[in-house]
Amino acid sequence: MNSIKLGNFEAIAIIVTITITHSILTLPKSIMVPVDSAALLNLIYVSILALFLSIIIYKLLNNFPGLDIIDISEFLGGKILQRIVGLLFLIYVLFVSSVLLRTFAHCLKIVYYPMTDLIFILAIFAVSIPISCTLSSETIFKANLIIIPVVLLGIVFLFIANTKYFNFENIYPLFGNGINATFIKGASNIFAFGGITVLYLLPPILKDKMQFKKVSILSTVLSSIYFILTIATILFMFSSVSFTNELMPLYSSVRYIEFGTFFQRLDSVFLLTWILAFFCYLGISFRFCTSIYKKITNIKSNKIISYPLTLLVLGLSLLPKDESITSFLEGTVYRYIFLIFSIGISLLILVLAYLKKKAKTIKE
Amino acid sequence: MKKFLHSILITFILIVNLYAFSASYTYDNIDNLAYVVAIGIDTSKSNNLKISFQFTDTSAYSNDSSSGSKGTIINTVEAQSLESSVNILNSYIGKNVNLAHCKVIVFSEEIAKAGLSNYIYSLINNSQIRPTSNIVISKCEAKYYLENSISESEKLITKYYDVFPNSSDYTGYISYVTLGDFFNQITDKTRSPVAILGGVNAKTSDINSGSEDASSILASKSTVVGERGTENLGLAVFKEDKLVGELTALESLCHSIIDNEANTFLISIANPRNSENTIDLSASEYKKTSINVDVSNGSPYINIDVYLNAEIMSIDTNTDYLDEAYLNEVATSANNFLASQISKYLYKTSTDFKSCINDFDKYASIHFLTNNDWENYDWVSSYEDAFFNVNVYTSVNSSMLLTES
Repeated sequence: MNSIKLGNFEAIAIIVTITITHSILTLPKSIMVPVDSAALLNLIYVSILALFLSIIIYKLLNNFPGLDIIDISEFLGGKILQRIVGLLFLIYVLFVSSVLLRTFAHCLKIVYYPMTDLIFILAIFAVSIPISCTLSSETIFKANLIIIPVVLLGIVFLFIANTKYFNFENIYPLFGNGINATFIKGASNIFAFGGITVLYLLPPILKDKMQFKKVSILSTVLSSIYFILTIATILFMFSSVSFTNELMPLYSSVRYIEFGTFFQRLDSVFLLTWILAFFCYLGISFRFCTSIYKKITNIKSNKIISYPLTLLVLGLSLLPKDESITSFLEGTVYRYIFLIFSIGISLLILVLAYLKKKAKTIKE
Repeated sequence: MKKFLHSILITFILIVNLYAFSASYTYDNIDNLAYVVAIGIDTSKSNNLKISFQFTDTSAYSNDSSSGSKGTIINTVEAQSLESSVNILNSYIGKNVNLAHCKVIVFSEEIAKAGLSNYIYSLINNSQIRPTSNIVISKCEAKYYLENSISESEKLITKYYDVFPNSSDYTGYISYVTLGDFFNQITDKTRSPVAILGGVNAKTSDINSGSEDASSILASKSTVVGERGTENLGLAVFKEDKLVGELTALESLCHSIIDNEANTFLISIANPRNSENTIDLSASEYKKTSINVDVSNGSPYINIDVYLNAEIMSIDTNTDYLDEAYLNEVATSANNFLASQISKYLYKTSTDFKSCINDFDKYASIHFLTNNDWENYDWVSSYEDAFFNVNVYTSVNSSMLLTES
């Protein structure tokens, strides 16, 4: 992985892909339900927090040019800490990927493949993981760079095409379930910006290390704009009880698009672009997974490890007995895992490593 | 060797996928599907549902079809739910019934009075049914409504169902109510839905009575005499999910004006210079209706300003239609007429129906900061005591092609 070098746009596209993949599933519901009509206000607030977070991550990582969090943890606590942190990242990616895979496959089954066993839909996506791992990294990142603009334009189109159904007054009462729910408890909605976690792993693979700041800020801003459009579409279209009931609120809003009697049923086009984005997401996630695994175990090739990892993610995605468990994992467990791991532990490691480095410099 | 293994792996994956997805392909294969174009839901004597499915009869459009063919097939099933009726029908017709092209869902008045929420939730839950399907409340049996849904001017039933709700754009006598809208309204505690009011034409009209204007006509009670069976005029009003009343064509127009749904519409007003005659105006809204809700005094005070442009359609002799004074008199007459009709309509919704069908709650909620404050205000009860102030500002431009008579 470290042999490949990412351009700015490719790096930004990776972070945005992760945001998009979450948003097409139940994430908008998880964001909106606790804050209700204040969802848009909360999202603007959370976007500002996410921007601050990405700047803090950049500032801390900037002290260790060309190193990712795995290398930095080695500097902080030696090989043991490096392996623990690497393993935590692996578990994090496997958990998120398997939950998303399960939810996405379930939605596809409901909409298009009612007679197909879920395991086969899961397998179709799972097969793409070792295939993408055998391809060169550039192939995946460049393919992603083609698909992501299409998905982003799709969401702009979705917003414009549904304007006639909008009730802009749905943003009232302005503070929804209260100021506390919107700004204090609502701050946990920062978990929507799951792509930020990738920032910890980006520095060694960036073509131009000096552009890391630009990448962090631009990717967060782009993810924020994407999220604001997504949440605004859902909030303006549906009453609060309706969006609570929807399995995939974004998909439900796509079903309304009509231009007269000629141009109807665009949901299949949107689903196709989302499926492609999901393939890219899996390819990217497991590219990082194999790279982390290679780093913590010193194996020569990262291709071979993709097969057991694929089987692992397939097995994990089959574990939940029903969709209530998946929904709980995606909406609640993922929220806290992101807050504890991506913000808490990772930032703590960076801060401690920075202090260690500073202490070392003073000593010298 | 490596290449050989790869080929075997790819072949294996292809075979597995062919096996796995062929069932879904067969299930959704166009040859195996029977597309429903409309659903009618009635109650049966045995407390079950009587669900009618309307299909297009493709043979009716072929060259050798008999001229008497109606072009549609209606099958009725008695079952406990929509899903079980589809299941029974699947085995009866030997094809997989698909609801993806269902354009109209008709509920009988009887079933609507008992409450529609269960049916609406089930319909929205169905991935095949589009949220853009129209909802019609039939004053007769839903099955009877479907049987009579034949347009004289449009032989294709699917085309007819696509087109008829659009008359809301140029008459305002119905609203373009979809399943998605209806679902949104019934899930919101403070709002109530409306639906298109449908019925079967009585085919007789007492044209001598002279009292039949837009203020009294509605489906099944119109002055139209023709061969066409069904007619859609007026709106069915709900409180939560239960049918509580009907709006006549003129009241429906008032509803459409407030919601900015009608692009153009026709109104008949008293001639300011000859009280025995009426003048027909073609009106359109040049600016969106402005609505303000004041909640500071307990009961909501709702101020509505309507802005219209109008042209005179029906003209009489010896009148100069470019005379500004006359145009102003016509405008004043139109303002008074519409303000009084809209007020009457609004008080009917608040005092008779106790149902907020124009979503005034969204303008009231602006004054509250949190959901708790808004819920404590209890909009549903407050709306019953609402005061309305309606101002109509009409600008009458001229007549159409003639300027003087």
